[in-house]
Order: sequence, then C-alpha cells, then structure tokens
Amino acid sequence: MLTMIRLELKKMLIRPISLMLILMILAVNGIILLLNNEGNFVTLQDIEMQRVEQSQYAGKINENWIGRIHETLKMIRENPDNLMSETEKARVRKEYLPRGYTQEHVENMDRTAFLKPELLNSLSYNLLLDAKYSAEFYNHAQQISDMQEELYRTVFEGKKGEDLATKAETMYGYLAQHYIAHYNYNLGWHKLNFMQSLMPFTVGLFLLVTISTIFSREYSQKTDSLILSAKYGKSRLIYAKLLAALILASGIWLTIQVMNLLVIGWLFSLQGGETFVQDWVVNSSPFALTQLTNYIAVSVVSFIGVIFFASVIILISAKTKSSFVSILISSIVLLFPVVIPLPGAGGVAGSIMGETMLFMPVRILIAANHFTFFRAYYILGKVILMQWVIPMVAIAASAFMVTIAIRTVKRHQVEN
Amino acid sequence: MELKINNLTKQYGSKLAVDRFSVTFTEGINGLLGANGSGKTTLMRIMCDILRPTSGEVLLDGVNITTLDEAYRELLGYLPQYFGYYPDFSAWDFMLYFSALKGLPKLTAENRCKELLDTVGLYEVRKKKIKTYSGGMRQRLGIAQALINDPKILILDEPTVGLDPKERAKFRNIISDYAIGKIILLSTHIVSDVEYIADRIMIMKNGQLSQQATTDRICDSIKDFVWSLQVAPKDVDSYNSRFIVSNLKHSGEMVELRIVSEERPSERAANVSPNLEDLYLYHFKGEV
Repeated sequence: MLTMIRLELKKMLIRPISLMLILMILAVNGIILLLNNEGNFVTLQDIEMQRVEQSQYAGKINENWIGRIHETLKMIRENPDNLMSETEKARVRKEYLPRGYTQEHVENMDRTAFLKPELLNSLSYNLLLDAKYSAEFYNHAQQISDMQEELYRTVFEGKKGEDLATKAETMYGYLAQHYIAHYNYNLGWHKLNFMQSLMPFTVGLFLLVTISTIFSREYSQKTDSLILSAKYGKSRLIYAKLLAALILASGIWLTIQVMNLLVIGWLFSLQGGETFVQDWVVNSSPFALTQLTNYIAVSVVSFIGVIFFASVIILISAKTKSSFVSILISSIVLLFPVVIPLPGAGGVAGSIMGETMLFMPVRILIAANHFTFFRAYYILGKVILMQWVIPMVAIAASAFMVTIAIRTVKRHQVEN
Repeated sequence: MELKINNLTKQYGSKLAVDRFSVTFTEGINGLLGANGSGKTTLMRIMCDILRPTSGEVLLDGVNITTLDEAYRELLGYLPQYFGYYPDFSAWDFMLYFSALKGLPKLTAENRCKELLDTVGLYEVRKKKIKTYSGGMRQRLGIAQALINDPKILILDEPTVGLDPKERAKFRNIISDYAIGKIILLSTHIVSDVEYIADRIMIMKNGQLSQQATTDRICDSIKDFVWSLQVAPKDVDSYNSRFIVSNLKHSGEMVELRIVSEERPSERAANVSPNLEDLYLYHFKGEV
C-alpha cells in the first residue's frame, strides 16, 4: 500500500506542470507576504516602528485603559505645539464656509479640526485613534447585540425568531458585558488572516492541476485496463489514490500555512495573539476569539475546506474520461465563487445565493470570512451556529463524494 | 485449471461485439485469430474482468470470475492491445507500481522486476523515463508487467505489435518457456505469432467462435481447398479477382500462385497442404 501511495504521489507531482506550479505558487505567495495593503514592499523598519508605537498601548481594555487612552489623546489635542497657527486656523475656517457649514458651526469647531497635518498623518496619532476606536469595543458589541436581536425578532416570527434573537443577544451580550478584550500590536495576525483569501489561487490551483488527473488520466491514457485487471486495481489502489490525494491536499495546505506563519512571524512578528478580532465594520464576529484562537478556528475549518475541495475534484476526476475536461469542470465548479463576479440579486434569490456561497468548498477553504458575522440555523427546534453546520456539511459531503468516486471507479468499464 | 467461457455476449447498441461465445481454455497456449473488429479485444476484456458482458459468464474451475474478484485477478496477467504508460515514470517505477498492484511483497517485487526487465532487455535502461522509449521498448515493458505476478492465466492482446522480427522471435520464446502449467490466450491477426507456439487455435469471426482445433489439426478443414498453380503473368489479375491468392511468386517466365478456394481454380492446379495463413484468408477473405 505504501509503495502504491508513494508512486501515486510521484505520478501527480513528477509532471513538469506540477513542478512548475509548485515553484510559481511558492513564489507568488512569498511575494504577496512581503507586500503591504498598498501593494508596496514592506520594510522591517516601518513594521518595527509600528510595533513599538502600538505596543505602548498594549493591555486589557478596561476603564483604566480607556481612561488612559482618552487622557493621552486629550493631552495631544490640547498641546499648543500640535495646533495650527491663528493664520492657518482662519484659513481652515474660511475653507469650511463654502462647503455649506454655518458661521456658528465654524466658530465653535473644536481643537481637532485645527491639529497640524503632520500630526494627523503621523503613525503615532493614527495608532492612538485606533486605540480610541478599540476602546469602543464593548459599546459596539452592545449595539450589534441590539441590532441582531431586533432583526431576528422582526424577520422570524414565533419561537424561531425568539430563539435566534436570544442566541445573538447572548453571544454579543457576553462580548459587551463579560468579555475582556485586549489591545496590542497585531499586524502579523491581520496579515495571516488576509493570506487565507489567497488559498484558492495557491492551494486550490495546485490541487486542480494535480488531483484532477488522478482517475481521469488513467482513462484517457488507457492505463485503466492495466490497473483494473490487477489484483488490487479495484480495491487497494483506489484507496491508495484517495490517500495520496488527501496527503497531497494536506501537504500543500500545510506547506502554505507554515510558510505564511514563518515569513509573517519573521517579518511582522506574531505579537498580539491575545487581541480581539472584531473591527465592527467588516468583522462583527460574535465569538470571544482572540487573534490566536481565531486563527486556529479558521485553520481547522480551512483544513476541512481543503479536504472538501479535494473531494469534489476526486469525484469529477472519477466521472470524466479526460484530464483536460476534468481540470476544466473542476475549475469552473470550484473557483467560480471567487473568480466570476456574480450578478447582485436581491430578495429570496439573493438570499439563497448568499447562503449557498457559504457552503462552497472554495469559501470554506478561505474560511476567514465565516467567523466575521453571526449566522445560525434553526434546525429541529434548535439554534445551531453556521460555523458548526458548515464543517459538518462539508465533512458529510466529502465522505459522500469520495464514496461515489470509489463506486464509479470500481464499476468503470474499459470500452474504448 | 479450466477457464470456461459460457455463452458470452456483449452488445453495444445494435452491434454484437461478442455473440454467444463459448469455449473452454485449458493449460497451454491458445491462439485467438481474428480480423480487426472480430470481437477479440472485447472478449479478452471480459475475461480480464474489466468489462461486463451483456449475458453469459466466465468461469474459473466452475466459479464465476466476478465472484472470485481479487482471487481471480491475482492469477491474471494482461497485456492489452493499446495500453498507456506513465511518461514520467522510469521502467523500474512502472514495474514496481504494478508489482504493488498485483500484491507482490517488496523484496520479491524488486527481484522479479530485475529478472523480467533483464529478460525483455530493458534492465540497462530501467532508470530512464518511459517517454524516451521507442514503441518496441514500451511493448516489451508491457509484456514484462503482464508477467510480473507469475500469472497462471495470461491474456495477451496483439502482443507483438511494434516489435521487430528479432523481438517477436524472442517474445515467442519467452511465452513458450512460460506456458507450462498455465493458460495463455494470445490474440493476434499476425498468423505467424501463433503458428509456431500455440497448442490450440481458435478463429473468431463476427463475435462468434468460427472454428477451433489443435494447431496440427486446425487446417484440416481446408485441406482440399488450397491449390498451387503456374500461370502466365497476364492471367494473374484474373485469378486475383476470382480467388483468394495467398501467395504470388515469380518463377522464370511464369507466376506461381497459391490459391485458397473450395473449387479447383484450374485443371492445372495441384492440391497442396494448407497452412495457417491459408486458413486465416479462407475465413476472412472479405475482410482482407
């Protein structure tokens, strides 16, 4: 069995296209790791500066911490050295009037409107503003709690609405009232989270090219008659192929994850693992997860996603008789949710489409977005979180597809 | 050991590829002769358990091969007419792969690979990728993989395609040496492949078993139908259009014709002993 697995892996990996793809993927992933949000190469100096500046506010977000942040901000804003000269203030006031502001408003504008541009654009001031925004963590959590509660009670009537609202209220309520959030420098963790969105174009692409051929190539290059007439051709070989595909999928996924962790750890550092994940704009996670625990949760779901992704390819490979067709169909089926822009649809259609997207293997492979909002299903009178349902569905669907693939290969008839 | 084909039929749409075919194979070399499209490959695929028959069954010592499953395939060696290979594999990897597939323990597999690659003359180039091999080398590799598990039932579909005369002779010797105590089925439309080594010959036509006998008796059915005749060169076309001319040889001013015909082609024609090629032409005259 080990020889079969080893040689199946060799079959998939030794092809020139596979080798080229590995190098390309590692290179692209490596380059993107070195870029910042603006697409420029990051420098160790800039990162270190941010780390030092932000680290000085590290700590639990409690009344003392919030008070300290407000006090610091107040001191900066009241420092006359940070304020514009009277001439500049007059110029600023003058600029406001043509924009529709009243004379009274302009006369009563507070100091923040007259801070020097060099302060406004400075890293230290912006990080302080970030800390101030973080100080609103509990208020934001409470607002989301109230909104979600109202939403579920309005959209769903009766016990379903009540149960869903209670669940949302409980989770966000915990964040608002009992959870103690931490603040610290955590750029590395944000970068790690961002790198998850590249998974379809690294891990996904590699699997599409390598695993798509696992069965279809045997049919197309007419080795099926040799293998199926061999003693273990309809039994152990199929399992060896499946294991090889799963090893390959896990291996490339792990390689990319380890590469990301090592490069990000070296470049950005993994400081701030204890910080909260919510920004309350694109990430309103109801979970009391830190960057570290969130990364673990995302990785677990992403790993299930890669297995799901590979299982779809395996099934398509077993069903198609040409490697090219297998790659083509797999690419279309698996990558369309991230490559092809879907037309915006509202109402029921939009809702179904949005819901379906959550269950797409490629979305599960990314996984990061699944932990950024509250979603729960009301199943048999119980509220079950989407974050539990999706891995369960992915595992069940993977098992089902692999079973169908095994059956298909076992029943394959060599006809032409 | 007895391999029995029992009323086997395989139908593709309205076309009968194998039509109520029944035969019993015993130990020895069984040659299966037939023109292209006569159903040989389909029959062999069914015998190799890689194609389901529409009806009928293949029994090994009275047990259906689909019931025997792995136990049957363990005894089987198969060389298909057109088989693929893994272009980036070396011959060594290819052989090891099939050793594993056929359940050979690692050490046995390595010894067997070495022995067979040596036999087919590929041991020296075993580390080279198969995509660099010539057609003949690939065919020899195919033969080696078919023998890797020392099969008790060996099914060879057009095994000498792509081999040069020297390689074909060597192949015949390998199979002859190997045949003792085994059932070998060798399908071909190259008559000389089976003429020298087969113990029994079957002729398959339109999916049916047209004739079968031991090699020394197979030609008996046409013993009165093969003629030798000397004609003038201008008359050759006339004979060619009316009869099956199995051989044509210029002899001085005249041309010596070997004709397969149920009726005497000429008063001057002399009856001669038939050979397997005459028999083949007799059966497949419309398809040659």
